[in-house]
Amino acid sequence: MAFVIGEGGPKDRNAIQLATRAGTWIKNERRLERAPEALAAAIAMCAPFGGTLRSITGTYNCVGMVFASRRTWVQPDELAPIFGDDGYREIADSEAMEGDIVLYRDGSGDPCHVGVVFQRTTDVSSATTELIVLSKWGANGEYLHGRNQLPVLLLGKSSVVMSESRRRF
Amino acid sequence: MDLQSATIEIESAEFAARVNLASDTRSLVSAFFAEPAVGSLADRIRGDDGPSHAAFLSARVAKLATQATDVRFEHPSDAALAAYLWLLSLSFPKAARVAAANVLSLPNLWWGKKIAEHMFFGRGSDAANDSDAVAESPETLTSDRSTPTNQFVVRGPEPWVVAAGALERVSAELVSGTQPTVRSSSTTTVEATTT
Repeated sequence: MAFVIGEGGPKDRNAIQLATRAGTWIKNERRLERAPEALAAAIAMCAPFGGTLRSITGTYNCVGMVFASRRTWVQPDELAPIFGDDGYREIADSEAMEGDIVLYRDGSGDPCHVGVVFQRTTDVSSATTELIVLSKWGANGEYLHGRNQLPVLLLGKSSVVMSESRRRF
Repeated sequence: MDLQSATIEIESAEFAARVNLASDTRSLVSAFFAEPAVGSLADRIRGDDGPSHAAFLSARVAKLATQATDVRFEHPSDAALAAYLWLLSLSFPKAARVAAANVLSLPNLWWGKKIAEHMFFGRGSDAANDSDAVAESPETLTSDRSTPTNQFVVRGPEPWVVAAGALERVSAELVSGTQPTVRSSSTTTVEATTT
């Protein structure tokens, strides 16, 4: 048996170099691709949720898609230092812009999923903002979907929009 | 759900697709909670006939672990192996560790390896203090994946260990049938979705 010290850390050969703006190492691990039949089953399972499949691979997850350029798997636990070091702040839905991040939290308030705002539409009559989000569903596909158009495991209990935008300085 | 139906379900590609929505072990366990086949086996393994069911699951792990696979891809039974190891750990931690030792040598596991690692290190010093544990005393320290087989490497208190501790608490609550929301020893809280 072999175990790895500091799995996902700087000395793990299965990790890639990945750090926050402040230089804090972001733990990550490259995951093997899943077999074609497994990916096909994943597409079939996710189809009822109605998202639009952009791509499918098992090698990265939602955090890896957003913060590691689709190159590696990053656990949601790593989001807190990323948001902190990279200057993200929570903003109102009405302020959301394409490129901002939607952060989903579970019932405990812990991050469980992230996606990128792909499109924002505002219904003036009802004063509501609708967001189309691009996110990676675990080791399954990468989907364009409505903000709450997600499997329960990813949807969590609440979501907020996070932005590092510097439109004002 | 009978035993055969449950194992067929857990070893299916559809089951793997559902639980592979998870991004970490906490959400993986939440995904397990939502699976009727896992719940059915959990009931059986906690029942009067638990030992025979544990033996059955151990045999399934051994069989799946020796299955020929295409190492370019993740093991087709990765999710099933993770589920079986987790189920065994509910009531038969020693059997779970024996089974975990079986899968740790496989090169193409993801969740199975995460759960198997938990069997040895998830409870901190408990594993090292347990004379019946499968794990040997730490002999070699290494910091990369070039570790030769048959060597045992110590891990520090990485965050996943905290998560694994929470995993265990979730498991314990499943066994006792109490509330599905638990708090780990740290400030984080784990919620098990029981839908």
